[in-house]
Amino acid sequence: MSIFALENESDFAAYLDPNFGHGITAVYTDVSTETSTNINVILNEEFINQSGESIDVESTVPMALCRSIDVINAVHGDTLVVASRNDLDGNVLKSETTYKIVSVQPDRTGFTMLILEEQ
Amino acid sequence: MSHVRQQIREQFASTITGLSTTGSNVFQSRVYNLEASELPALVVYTKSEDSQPIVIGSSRTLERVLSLNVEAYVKANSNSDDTIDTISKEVETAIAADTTLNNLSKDCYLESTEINYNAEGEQPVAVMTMTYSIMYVTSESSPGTAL
Repeated sequence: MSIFALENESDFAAYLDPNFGHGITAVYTDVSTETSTNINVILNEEFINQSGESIDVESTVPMALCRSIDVINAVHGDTLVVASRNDLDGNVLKSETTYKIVSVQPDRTGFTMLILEEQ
Repeated sequence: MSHVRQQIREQFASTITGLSTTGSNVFQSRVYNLEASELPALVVYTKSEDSQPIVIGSSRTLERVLSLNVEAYVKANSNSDDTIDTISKEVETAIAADTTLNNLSKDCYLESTEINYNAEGEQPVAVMTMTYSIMYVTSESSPGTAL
């Protein structure tokens, strides 16, 4: 890491902390080696209208923000299993979900955005 | 009596309702977006039509060629191309069994098919547009009655 960096991996980990940050637990699996790793991610599922012909299809774009060092070998086809998302009362908003990674977008500063396809 | 074009659209939609893949997810002239629970779906539009007089005189007869579009929507993370082709087979078979559309048209045939894919969302969406050419005849003064 550059000596000029204002933040380090510990700061990144704090952002993704499920208890004190904005993160959620997930299991990243490198399909080629069949190795799984527990990591924390920030999952974003923004609503979009997926283009059709005369009309569109309502959809979301699942994206996981990760520390680059946690997914350094991530490639298309690897999987991410994201824990269920609950409200403060414990009600399940969305159950545990398996995603396939369809795009890996490192920002070259320590974070990587994984674009996901729901399985 | 409604316009024959409306009768044709409704008859067409009725014919393709209940097919194995799309079931009751059949809509006419839909303008609002589809949600996941409505997929796979078929949407029927009658957006353009050409016409010309074939009998001239005080009461002219019009030959009309209606361009009817059937749009199929599928959302799946695998085999959406196969599903689209299955839908195509089901629609073509159903319409081929009644090319006069319950005696509203003189002829009806599949003119073109176009398929596109979109991977912007959580699962890919496949969209197929089937364009049917439907020839029907009315008098100029009575567009609600098929001749």
